[in-house]
Amino acid sequence: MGWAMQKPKDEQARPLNEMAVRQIGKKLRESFDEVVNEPVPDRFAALLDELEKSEGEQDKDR
Amino acid sequence: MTARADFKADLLGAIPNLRAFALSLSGASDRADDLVQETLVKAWHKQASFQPGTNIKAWLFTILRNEFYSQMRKKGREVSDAEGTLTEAMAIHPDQMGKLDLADMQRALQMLPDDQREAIILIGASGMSYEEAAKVCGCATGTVKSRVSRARARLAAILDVDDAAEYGPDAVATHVMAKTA
Repeated sequence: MGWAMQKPKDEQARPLNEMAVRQIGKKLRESFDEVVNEPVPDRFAALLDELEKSEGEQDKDR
Repeated sequence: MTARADFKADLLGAIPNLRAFALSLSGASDRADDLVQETLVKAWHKQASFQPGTNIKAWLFTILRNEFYSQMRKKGREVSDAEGTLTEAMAIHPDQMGKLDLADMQRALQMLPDDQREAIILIGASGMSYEEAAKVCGCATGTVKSRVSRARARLAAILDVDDAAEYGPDAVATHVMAKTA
């Protein structure tokens, strides 16, 4: 114990090395893309159909 | 196709990106999909304010972002950690192989102050340009840039990747494999 705890507190003051920036960027994109690539839940297409339908009915009333 | 059908198709096409943005912002998947739903309803009724041919993704991200903050304000929930007080107590440590789980990234994002979180998500995760991100956040391009670099520094500290030595296992393994190949 001890050694690992002695990292400088003011980590933000240190410039990041290029590898750290790249690693963070890669992980950020991966975690974002993971959701982007998920199948879209049906509720959203149903919602848009519903919105379209209700607007169509309003048009007819005019 | 009518303008409305085009608009509907554009909204449908944007849903995967909206879901990813909502999850990164809120950190909770049930909440994220509710946010997307609200965004779609708002966008539908604001259709007149969208100029066809302009960037619909940025337009929708702006609506979602504003909806997110207005919900947070209504709930009176203080989620931002502007002072970074929680950051140290909650530091995330990658497993012994130096691998960073994707869920770790989601948790780490939630430890950032709001302004830094949205900046790094837009630039680093969704791949927007600084100009687009500045429009979404309603601030200057330079402001986005400085928020992104502060967010990177803080993420590096939270995720413990601010030191080349942290790459140890992966970097060594790659090196060894390259040598023996």
